[in-house]
Amino acid sequence: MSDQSQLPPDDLLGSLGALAREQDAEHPRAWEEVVAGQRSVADVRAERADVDGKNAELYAELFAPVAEDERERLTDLLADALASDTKPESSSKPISLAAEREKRSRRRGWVAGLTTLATAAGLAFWLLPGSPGSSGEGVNLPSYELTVRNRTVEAKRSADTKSQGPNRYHPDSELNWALNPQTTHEYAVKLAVLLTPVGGGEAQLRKLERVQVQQSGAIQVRGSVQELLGLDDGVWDVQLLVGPADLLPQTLEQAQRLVADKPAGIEVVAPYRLEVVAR
Amino acid sequence: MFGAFAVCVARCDRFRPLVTPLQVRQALDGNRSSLRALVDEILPVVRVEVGVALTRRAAVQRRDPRQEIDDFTQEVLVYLLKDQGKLLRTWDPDRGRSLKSFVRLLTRQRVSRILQGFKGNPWSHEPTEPSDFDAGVGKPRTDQARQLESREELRLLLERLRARLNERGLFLFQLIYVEQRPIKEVCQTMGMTRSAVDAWNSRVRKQARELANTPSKR
Repeated sequence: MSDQSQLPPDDLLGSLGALAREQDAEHPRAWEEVVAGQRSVADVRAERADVDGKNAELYAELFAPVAEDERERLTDLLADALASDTKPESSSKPISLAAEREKRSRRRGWVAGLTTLATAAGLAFWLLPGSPGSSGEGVNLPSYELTVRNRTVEAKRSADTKSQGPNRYHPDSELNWALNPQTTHEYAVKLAVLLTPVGGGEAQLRKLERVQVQQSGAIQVRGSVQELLGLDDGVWDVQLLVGPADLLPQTLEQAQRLVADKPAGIEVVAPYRLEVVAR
Repeated sequence: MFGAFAVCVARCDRFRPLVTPLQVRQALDGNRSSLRALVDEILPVVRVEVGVALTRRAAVQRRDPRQEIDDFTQEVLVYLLKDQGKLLRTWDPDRGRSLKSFVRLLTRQRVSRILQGFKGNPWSHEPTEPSDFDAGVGKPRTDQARQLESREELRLLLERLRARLNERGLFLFQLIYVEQRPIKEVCQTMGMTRSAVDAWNSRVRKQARELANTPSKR
């Protein structure tokens, strides 16, 4: 066993820092000038022969100047990416892996002939984009990703029936939702929920006090539909707002404005549509 | 004399901010010529950072960096500009870091995440169960010892840690442990209180210990 292995944790970080410094010192920045077309491969290869050692030949290949047409191609690609980022539909529409799973399931014939309530095997997955914007008031939250782990209620009348509607719940159905930040962060966040009835009606704002917030910023929502959301029968759009307690909305109007404006400091998760049905 | 200075200007990016924060914002707001200037500025940084990271990994995983450098470079560039360039908009040269240095650090982290199998989510596709959050803490030091028996293990641990840090953590780690800046300066640079930096430090120490106690996937 080496001495290094017995380092206490702060020394462990010290060792990692020392290694990173070594890597920084060895980092072949001169090759950046070759990629940029400012220096020749031969020039930098000769200059760094001792440092690059056995990697010299490989670096000469990897870091050859990038041609003009390739730079243009990359610029076009990035311009397209930026432009598509601004289109609300492409950036806010959740991707339902549950639907994809269902298609696969149908192909396999696993759901043939069911006429009663069936349980969907509980993992719906939404990719949630981050809200655009800046550090604003100094709070710069990463985007959040919602994973619905609970079982939902699904009505099937035949193998051919397409069930593309909202996920169904009974009032006493247990929710098990996980909101994971794209990267860990250090903000103390809370969760508020804007509930909007589809097809008209009175929206509601609820603050979820009983959620479990992990040190990393991950949030676990557990409890019954009635207990957590208090929803009547019907179809609802659920929008989750994550942010520091003092930035979360206090009133319904504030919540609706935040959802519309998506200001810095609050992450607004794309709507999750659900239907509450009586037993 | 002037010639020597000119060479230095050409080679030291800290003396020649080719792209200003205003130009970065213009590029991200859709100005194509500014975007092209941004590409010219950061592409070499990203490509070399990616190439070096892939080369380090190549010996371990028997992968050929030449086949992957283009894809990785493109992926990192798209990542840097995602969400309307949210990350790049946070670059502020007054905090003492050139755009190249800023992008270099972000690229290093992004490549670590890709190589560690992350797809933008620290916990991949599975949310962490509450019981998993403290897993690994307090395991016997002998496990940690085995993890660190070689320099390669330490390098892998650094990569795994980088992959799990958020952007703020990435810069804190760089300032505190790599550049060894005084904490007061770190607080000023990052706009954080001393207690916030201490709290982060405590968390990252725990995180590093957890990772050292958990077998790595090569």
